[in-house]
Amino acid sequence: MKNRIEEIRKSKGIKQEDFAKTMGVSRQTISSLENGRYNPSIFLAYKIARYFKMTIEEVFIFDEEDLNKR
Amino acid sequence: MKNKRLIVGIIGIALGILCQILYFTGTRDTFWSAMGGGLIGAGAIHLYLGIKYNKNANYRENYDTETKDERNRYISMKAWSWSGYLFIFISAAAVVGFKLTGYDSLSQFSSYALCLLLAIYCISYFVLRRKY
Repeated sequence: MKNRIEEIRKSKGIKQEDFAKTMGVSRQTISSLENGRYNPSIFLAYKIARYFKMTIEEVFIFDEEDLNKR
Repeated sequence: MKNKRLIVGIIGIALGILCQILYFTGTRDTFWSAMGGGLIGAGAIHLYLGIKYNKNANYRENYDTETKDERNRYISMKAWSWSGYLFIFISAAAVVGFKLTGYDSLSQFSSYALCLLLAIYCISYFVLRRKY
């Protein structure tokens, strides 16, 4: 699933490491999320969206193709 | 985690020393001496890491993040899943391979290991299906 984490994080001037610390995950997890290699749990997705003061749909982009791949 | 590692370490060392005593008093064979050595070694590592966790705040923070990290847990679960599948294929190959080469008892042992793993999987699946 595609997401806008990197774009939003950079626009707010937050370092990957600091963001990871705030979210309570490792920096590698943030990196994997941003590269689209790993899809977060609903809890982490909610936490990220809430941190950016956005909805989950605004941060994570739902694609029909992703649904077909499952 | 706070004191769990310390306790596990102390128990490991104590059991290891007990095994060594049993060996040196002549009541048990070298197997128990080797087991004791292993337990003492593993216990010492646990004890060292437990002390480090309690004293080093930076290590504690990194350790907690790594263990609670959901991606790490996901990877760990995937690794267990792969291990299970690989074990089944390796055991199945071993059953046939040992039988063909005339090692009947090893072939039988491999088939028991395979059956045991499949039985554990079925029980786990049944329990988890009821839970979720």
